[in-house]
Amino acid sequence: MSINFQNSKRGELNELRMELLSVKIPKKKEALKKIIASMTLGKDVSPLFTDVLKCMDTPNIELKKLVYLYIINYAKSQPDLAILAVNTFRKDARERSNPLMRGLAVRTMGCIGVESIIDYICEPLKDALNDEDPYVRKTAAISIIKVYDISAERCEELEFVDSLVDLLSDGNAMVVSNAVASLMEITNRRGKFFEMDGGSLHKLLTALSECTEWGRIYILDFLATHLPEDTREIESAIQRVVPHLSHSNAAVVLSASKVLIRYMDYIEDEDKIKSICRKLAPPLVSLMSSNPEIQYIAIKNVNLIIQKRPDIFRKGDEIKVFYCNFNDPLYVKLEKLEIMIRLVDLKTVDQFLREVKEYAQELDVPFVRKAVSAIGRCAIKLDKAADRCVQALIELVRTKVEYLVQESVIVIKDVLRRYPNRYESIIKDFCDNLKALNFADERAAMIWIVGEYADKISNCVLLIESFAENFKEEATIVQHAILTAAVKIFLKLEDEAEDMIADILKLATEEAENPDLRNRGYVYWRMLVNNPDMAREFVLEEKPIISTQSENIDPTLLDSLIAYLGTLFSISLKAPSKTVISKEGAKERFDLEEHEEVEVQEEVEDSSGVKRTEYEGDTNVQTFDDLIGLGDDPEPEVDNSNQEKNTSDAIDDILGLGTSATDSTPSQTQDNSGLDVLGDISSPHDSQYCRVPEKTLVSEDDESKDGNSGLEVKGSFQRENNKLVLELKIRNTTQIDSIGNFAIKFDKNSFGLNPAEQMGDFSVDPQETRKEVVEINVNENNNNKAPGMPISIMCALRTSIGVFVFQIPVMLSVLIVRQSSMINVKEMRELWKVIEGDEEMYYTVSNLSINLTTPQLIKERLLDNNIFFMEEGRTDGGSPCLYFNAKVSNNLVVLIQITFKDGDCTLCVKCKASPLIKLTQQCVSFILSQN
Amino acid sequence: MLEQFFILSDRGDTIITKAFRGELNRKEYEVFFRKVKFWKGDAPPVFHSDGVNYYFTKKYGMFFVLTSKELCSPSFVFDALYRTMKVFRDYLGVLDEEGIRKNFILIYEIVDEMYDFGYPQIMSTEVVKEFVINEAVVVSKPPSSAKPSIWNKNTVSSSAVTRPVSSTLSTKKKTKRQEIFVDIFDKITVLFNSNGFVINSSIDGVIQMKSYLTGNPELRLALNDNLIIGGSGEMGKSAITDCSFYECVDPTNFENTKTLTITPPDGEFLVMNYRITGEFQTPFRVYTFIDEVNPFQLQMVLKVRATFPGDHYAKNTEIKFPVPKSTSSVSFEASPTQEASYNKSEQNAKWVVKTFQGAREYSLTAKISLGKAAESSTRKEIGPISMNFDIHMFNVSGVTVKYLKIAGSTSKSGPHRWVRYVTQSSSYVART
Repeated sequence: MSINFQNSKRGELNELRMELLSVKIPKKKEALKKIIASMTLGKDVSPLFTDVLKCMDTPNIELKKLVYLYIINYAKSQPDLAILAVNTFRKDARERSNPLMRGLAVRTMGCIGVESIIDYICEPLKDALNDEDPYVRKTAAISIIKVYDISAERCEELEFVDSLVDLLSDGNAMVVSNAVASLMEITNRRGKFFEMDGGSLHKLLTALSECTEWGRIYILDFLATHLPEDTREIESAIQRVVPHLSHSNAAVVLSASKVLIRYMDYIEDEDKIKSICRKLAPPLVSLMSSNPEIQYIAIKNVNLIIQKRPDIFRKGDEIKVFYCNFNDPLYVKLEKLEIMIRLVDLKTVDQFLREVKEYAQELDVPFVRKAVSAIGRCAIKLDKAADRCVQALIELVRTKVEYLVQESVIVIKDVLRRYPNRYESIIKDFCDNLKALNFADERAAMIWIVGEYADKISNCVLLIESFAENFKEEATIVQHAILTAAVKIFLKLEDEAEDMIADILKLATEEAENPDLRNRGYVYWRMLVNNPDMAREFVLEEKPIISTQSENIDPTLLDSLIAYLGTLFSISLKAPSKTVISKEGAKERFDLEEHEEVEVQEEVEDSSGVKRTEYEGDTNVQTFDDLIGLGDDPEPEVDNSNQEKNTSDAIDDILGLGTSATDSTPSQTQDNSGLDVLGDISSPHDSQYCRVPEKTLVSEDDESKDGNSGLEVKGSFQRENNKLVLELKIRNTTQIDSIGNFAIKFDKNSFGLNPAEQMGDFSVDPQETRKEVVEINVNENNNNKAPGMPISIMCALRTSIGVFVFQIPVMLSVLIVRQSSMINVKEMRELWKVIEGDEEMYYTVSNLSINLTTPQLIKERLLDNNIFFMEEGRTDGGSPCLYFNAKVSNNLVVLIQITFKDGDCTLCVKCKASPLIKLTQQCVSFILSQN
Repeated sequence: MLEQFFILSDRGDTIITKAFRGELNRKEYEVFFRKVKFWKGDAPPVFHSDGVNYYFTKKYGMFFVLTSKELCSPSFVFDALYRTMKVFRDYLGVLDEEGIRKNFILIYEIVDEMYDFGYPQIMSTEVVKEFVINEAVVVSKPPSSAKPSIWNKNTVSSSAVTRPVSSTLSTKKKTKRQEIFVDIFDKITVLFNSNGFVINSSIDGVIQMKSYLTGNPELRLALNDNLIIGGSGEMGKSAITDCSFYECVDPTNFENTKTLTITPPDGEFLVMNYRITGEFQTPFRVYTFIDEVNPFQLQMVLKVRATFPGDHYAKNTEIKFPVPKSTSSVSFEASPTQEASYNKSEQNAKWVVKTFQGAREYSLTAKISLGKAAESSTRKEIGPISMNFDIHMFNVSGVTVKYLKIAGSTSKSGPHRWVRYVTQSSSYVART
């Protein structure tokens, strides 16, 4: 069978080959069409490559197009063959009579993605950039980015990037927009290099109104990232961008609003800002009538815009536009509710409540839950309307519909916290509906209420006991809640609750499997036994008032999100720079976050805008030994790292602070966690990992032990993909002999470094240089031993001309490992205090890079080098400072404090092993001095 | 930017694959298909898998997919995808698997012109046409199956609607019909509260054209003079809250003269979108009366009154409402030409009025038998009532075409101009 098949296949190819050789053009065309058809189906027709190439030299453009189509498909897999076609391409590119042909040739050549093509393409491409026909020029503009893709260095060498800037003044709008698209992509890869001046701004604005909608998007996105410096120019730009708000393409509208919002920051005249806002609102609202996918994107972006410019929808009437339609998909409804909560004010609260109460009667449970929680959040937001909101909630509870009761309990907890001693009377209604509480979140909320209002609930002891019946089966947050509530009740009622507290403490300390819970149980126990007064002081302390402000996104994060309006970032609410991971690194990051995989899955779904899985309970409880969580911020900043966020979520802090409004809104939790995955995929930000400069290890004149010379070795240790490697450049400086038989060995060293493998079998010819990368093993068992200063590794290199011995200096940065486990801020804080201060620990960074202008940038830079940011603080002297930590490959932990005072940047490094201090100073100042 | 474009059949066969950058890896469409096939429920239109973002839509039994590895604006990608499909449709007349398979070389050629290195370039049919050499092989198909339901058969006057654009323009037969279609759709959203008052109402309107004119002459479309743009209008005048225009339209004089200058592309295109929020005459009013006959039976009387003029009618009006969970059966009393039914699995009742004459009132009495005694909340489970309808040759927004001038033709002997008004329900809901 298989032989037959082979034969028939070969026969088929042969037949096609014969047809290709035919002199009749229609027959050739037929054959090519058949070939392309099989190509589409995934069959391998590459053996015909040379035969197809023969057809290329034809005046028939239809045939030529078919050949091009074929070549593009196989160019990557058969680059050597593709090069054969180059001469025909060059000929076509010079074809004067037909611009279509010239464009085609340049375009197709660019698609052959092998480096050697650059030599051939540069001349035709340069011609094409100055071609008289705009079709050719616009094709050339895109081709530059193709060349850049193949080799960035060559592209810059050949000054193609500069010619892109020249193209901005082209008379044809399409050419300009393609040039902008190319510039933008290059900017994304190598950082901003183009400065917007008045002239180019004017050109872009002129092109903006003439080009296609896609071109407009490129130009608008470019304008949004490249702000002109002069205020007058900004104003005139705004005038020219405003008309594009009435475009029917949603992406154009979003890009235009992005430009306006960014530019508005630089306008001081309040009236002007108001007038722009007035123009901005209706088009954004109009996006609500597009198809659901676009609506979802639009609402997510509107949510950001409202936070940035709350005045946009201040007319009061706009809230109606965001009312949910009966037939909206769920994911749109949920987002519309978010906006409604943002827009509701005292004028509209009545109609808002009427509307939301209607939603609460619908059948879609996640939507109903969100509607209920919206009422609660409205109560927290509007003090004067709180009565009406609470009344509405009570009505819902009295329906006794299970999920209404459940969600109401969760929100009422926040309401009670917001308005202490105001709504105690309603607690009874909830106590009547305990049966409905099936899930962890609402149980925890109810238990919190019982604990908090123990003195107002007559049977609170019984209640807690009944909640604790299945203590071992309960979710962790419920267990924590029971424990805390029990302590509160005991402190309030004392004798009455004595049996109960004993039982619960016993359950928590002896039966519970969760070490965190056990720990906490013991602490309470000891505190109650030894010093009940202190316990009272801690546990019953007055709680800070919560507010809906906590739902707002941190302003710096907001600004960076505004810059990415309309993209996936604006939907994921994740700052682009937080997820600085190159495409290669993304995979590793996934591994690190394996424990979050379930959530990640949900999130991707969610952001894509179709499904919103209701978040039931805390699936990802990361407990944390936070015994006296005094300083713990009850409202974690949204831009904290993912792990930190989860942590603080899970800490049901011992002081009984409860969790804040932010924490209990499921959507918020969802939005923060997991979504950085999306960011990872598409991060435009390049990792700023600082490579260690190479050193000359063996110079030309150095002699081997046998007395020979003629070898030059340069190199350094580097960290690549989180692995330690030794990069060597070996040059043979002799005239005749080739050098081979290489092998490398390290002397014993304090980090236990050793080559993981020997170098391959190779030899270096005279005057040649060879790059070698040797993977290095780190012996992790070599624990906690501090190295000498400075670290260098004694190394022996065997060659055919003898053994060379030399030292390789090591920069500590290559030994700092990426930490996979959570950073325990508390522990670090303790450690910081334990280590005594010393003059030696302070070091001033003299040559701080000019690129690192803000603390944020420093954080990012250090994060890229595996030095993790912990927290911000103040020194004893009151200067602001940042705390970082890092872990060296032999498990030693280093703490770093960076202080800014009078323009100076001072490092303070603390570590148990004192030799590391110097090394760390050297390494951090090296990282910070890199541009 | 965009990485790949592919079309898969719903069995997962590849029909078209095109890599804009990088090497086309066979795995990626396999990954896509596997993901979509095994998604719990419906796959979302954008999803991410192993470093690749997939954007897709499933239409005409095929998956149209764009992928990207970098940061892209999702709205941008979808617009590009829809536009690509539109160009295919203009070329092929009808977009179906057979047509694409027969014309795959043409499709590759079109895609090559539309995207360069993943950047959308030329996205309109008439410009693409200048650079594309192949001709479409027309697949003959009965036109009825190709049109969406809103195109009522009675009003489609010519086979032109499904004929491919390019053949009209490239063949030089003299017998070809010169015609242009103008459609004005009002999609209305209305929400009544239980007392029959309007809580929220808006119109999303669109003016759409399909042109079969040779040489793409400039068009001048004038709308009624009493149109107000921006702000809330007085009664009797149509006030447009916000409108947006497509690229072929020059709206410079619109505010003053209500005239749009249009450079028509070939085939189907949109002229403008408009949005009207605020009061307008709702075409139907809905009244419900629910009585508890006995604890096991509820009686609901549903009255629907058409307030639009008697010389118009709504086709296939569908009125739906959920019934209580405990419902065991429902019996209906309605006039014999109407159908009403109860769907047990979806727990709702549906009432269909084939032809709803304007200025008339119809009523339905539904007797709902319950499996267990009614509680206070049972009544609330009935409703809301949602309606679906199309009213032809009538629009509530009052946006009308005053005239359509075609450059270079006298109005008497000029090409056929077909103007159609349709009012459609987008979300028409009455709470009970």
